[in-house]
Amino acid sequence: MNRYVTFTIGDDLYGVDVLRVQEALRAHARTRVPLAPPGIAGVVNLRGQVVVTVDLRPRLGLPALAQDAEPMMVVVQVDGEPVSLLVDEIGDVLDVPVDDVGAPPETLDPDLRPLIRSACTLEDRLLLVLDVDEAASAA
Amino acid sequence: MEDIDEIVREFLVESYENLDQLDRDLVELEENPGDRPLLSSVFRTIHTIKGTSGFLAFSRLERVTHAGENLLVELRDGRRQMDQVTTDVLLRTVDTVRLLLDAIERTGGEGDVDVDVVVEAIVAVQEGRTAAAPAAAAAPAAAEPAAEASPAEAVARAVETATDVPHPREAPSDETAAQVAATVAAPTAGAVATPDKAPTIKQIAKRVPTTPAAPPADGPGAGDVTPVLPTPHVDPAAQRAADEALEAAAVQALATAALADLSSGHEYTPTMAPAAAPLEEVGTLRGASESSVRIDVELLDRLMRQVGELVLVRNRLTRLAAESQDVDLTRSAQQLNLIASELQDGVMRTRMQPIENVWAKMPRVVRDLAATCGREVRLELVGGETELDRSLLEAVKDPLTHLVRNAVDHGIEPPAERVAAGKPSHGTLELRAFHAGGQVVVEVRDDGRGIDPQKVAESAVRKGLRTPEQVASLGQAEMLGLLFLPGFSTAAAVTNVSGRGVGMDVVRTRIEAVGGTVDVESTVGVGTSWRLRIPLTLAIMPSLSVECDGDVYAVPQVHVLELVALDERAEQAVEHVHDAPVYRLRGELLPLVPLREVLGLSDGEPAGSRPGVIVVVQADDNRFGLLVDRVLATEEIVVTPLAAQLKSVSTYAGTTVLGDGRVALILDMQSIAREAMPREHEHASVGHASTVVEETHETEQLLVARIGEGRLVAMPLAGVARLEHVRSEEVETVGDREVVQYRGSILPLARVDSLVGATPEDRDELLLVVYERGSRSAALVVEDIVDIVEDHAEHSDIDAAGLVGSTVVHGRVTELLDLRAALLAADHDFESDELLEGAA
Repeated sequence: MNRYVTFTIGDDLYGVDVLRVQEALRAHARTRVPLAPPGIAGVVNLRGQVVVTVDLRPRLGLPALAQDAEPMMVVVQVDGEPVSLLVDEIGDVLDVPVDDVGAPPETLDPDLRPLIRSACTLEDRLLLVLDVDEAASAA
Repeated sequence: MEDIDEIVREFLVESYENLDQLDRDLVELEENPGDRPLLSSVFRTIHTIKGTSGFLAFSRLERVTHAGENLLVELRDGRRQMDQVTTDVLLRTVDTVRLLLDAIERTGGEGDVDVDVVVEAIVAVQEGRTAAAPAAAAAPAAAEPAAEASPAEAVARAVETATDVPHPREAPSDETAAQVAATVAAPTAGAVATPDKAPTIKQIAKRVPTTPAAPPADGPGAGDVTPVLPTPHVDPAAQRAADEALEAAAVQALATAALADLSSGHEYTPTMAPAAAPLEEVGTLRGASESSVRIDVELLDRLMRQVGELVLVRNRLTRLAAESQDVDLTRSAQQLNLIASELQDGVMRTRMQPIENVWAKMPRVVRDLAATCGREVRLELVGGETELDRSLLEAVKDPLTHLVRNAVDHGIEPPAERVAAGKPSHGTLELRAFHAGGQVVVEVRDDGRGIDPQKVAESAVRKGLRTPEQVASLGQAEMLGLLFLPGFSTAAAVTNVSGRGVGMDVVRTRIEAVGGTVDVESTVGVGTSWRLRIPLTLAIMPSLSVECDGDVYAVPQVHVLELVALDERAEQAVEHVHDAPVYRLRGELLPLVPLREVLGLSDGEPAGSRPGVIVVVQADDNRFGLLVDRVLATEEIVVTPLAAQLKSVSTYAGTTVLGDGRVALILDMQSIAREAMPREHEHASVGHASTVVEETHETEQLLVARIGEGRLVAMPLAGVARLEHVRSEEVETVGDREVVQYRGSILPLARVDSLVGATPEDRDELLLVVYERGSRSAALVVEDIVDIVEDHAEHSDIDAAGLVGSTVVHGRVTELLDLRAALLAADHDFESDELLEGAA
């Protein structure tokens, strides 16, 4: 069994390893960082700690979020430091049998291959499992 | 096994600290041989290391410390005077111990460190005593005349002659013999005495350890009860006291009593004696360990973060309490408020350490170096208790050491040279630390030969770091600033001490890396003073919060010189030299850097078109104006490092949470300066040069412009009102003259190309240099503004149309425009006597 925290970005359902997730909460007001790489949506004050916020949308081929949009954020741990991922909606925590976890489709854009680790076939839809380190790097 | 490692690790940490202290103590002891607490401290350190190394079975470490200890015991018993030879060998012992500790730290064993050499050296020093014995033998004889005056001369002589005086230095002097009799402290003897007789007894007892009854080899035993170091000076009063002592009737008996005591002490074996020392020292050691604990810095950082969170929770609670009207809740919230603040303060302070910790090594460094270079140096340390964040302390250690070495090697002259210059033969090197304006200032000041700015400048030119022209326009301070250029070294000859070409630039880089600054002042023949300004802590710094395009940014206050408001009421407006915005600040041209452009947020509007504030900043060699929308406040900010994803953006030095909970980015001014001003040095020199103009009235600033055929033409900057771009189709003709309409008036033009006979290039856009005189304006058309320079070179007269001569600018021949003729060509009525007098 693999356990994932799921969320939606655009029309797709994504998941990250539950063990890497610190918390999920309503997004805080972001301070934009001019000159930063495009995936960086700004920095937020998470209980006194300054946390980088990553918007995965540009990478997934979607238009970037507006500066004043108020999505949710999933805070993941990368090398002991929290990084916040901006998502549209938080879903359930899902247990996926190992058999249902497959390689991402061959047709997947090569640029996205490092980001999407596997694809799980759920009953009604597809769950794309993100590589947390890759997602947080905002490369 | 892990336990053992833990013990070894603790042993290493503790020993390293002790060794630093030891270096300092030994050097101080050499200067004050009579300082008993110092000697005890030295003895204690060596003894502790010896004891622990025995326990941990580091046999070589034990052997070398044991040998060192033996020598110290002689010192402690007063059988040996601290002299240079002794100090040298003791310092060598310390070095060997350090080598051994290094080896243990690296490999877990003692490696191949050779201790025999040092042990032999110590023994040699100890045996040097026998070589000096003939001199000592003279002592009793010399002492006799002194004792003759005493009524109790028989007793005195008995004691004196029995005395095997172990102080060869003192032997020739009969006063010394009296002094021997006059020195301090013999607890055992004192114990049998009545209080009023105590001084007497002490004096007698003093002689006792030197009698055959207590042979020198057994000194340690006696030494532990008779801890005496003779003071080097002779005290006549002491001699009188000695005489009186001998008159005392009980003298004989008491002396015997003391002798008896010491004779029993004599039964201790020499190795037993040091073992007795811990008994007395255990108390102090335990005291130290109870009053302080070692804490992992990691833990402190975590505490600090948690306190930060606590403060935020407190803020929220305070707000809630204010809304609830509940008196009890409000009171509790206020209490929490207070406690949280104090806690924050306390945690902050745990990271602070006195700068003394870094200075500890300096006396040793100075001593060794002074000896090597043949200098006499007195080191003065002032303000060692000044505290600074631990991490910063580490960062300034090497730069400080470098400055100190430099001062001894290059700053302070050899004694002969000093005397010839009418100075005392020994130089003074002063290290001073103090708090000033939220920073710690550390000064390294010597009274040596000083640095000649001219020589620095020549050297910079010789090394190809600067051209003669660049250097010629520099002031004294700027010339000294060249010392900080990479690859610069002032040493006339490369010595093995310093002057390897890695020098001040490294010092500056290191200091600036922690947000500090370094500058130098020097007067030839009087001395040099290096001043480091270091922030109190890396974690907290004073900053100026500014607004730009709706966001708040923090500018480290250390860089901020002044603020200039830029609005409709401002007398001066932003001007443009070519594309670069500048502001005239008290006669100096200040290059402007709009923050909007730095951050890539520019909307294309020219700088200065909207109200704003110029934050005048100094970073590296650059002085420039950072143009922001608003200045909000000055506040102390807690710096958090930049997240990994943002490290590639060099514009920011970190982030911080502001008082209202917003996150602000901290601007890295050095990086911004480098990005914005690639030609930093020219800009810097222009800024300074103009002040020189005001002082001397000997040089003037020139605007260098490019015209057709790539020629350069210089014209006086004085009188230039502004620079304008116009499209070529805007140029109209009035009679035989060209004009443009400008702000509702007519501006006559003259093309410099045609004035000096150059072939003009076809251009869509013209650049106008507008001169103003009273109500009249005239403009000269050029292609491009190249630079603003200081006119210092000799002019050569040339006979060419429109020119008054030529000069050399940055190594290029540049023609000097005949401004008067040029302006009259544009406007026959341009009355500009004053302007032209100044310019031509």
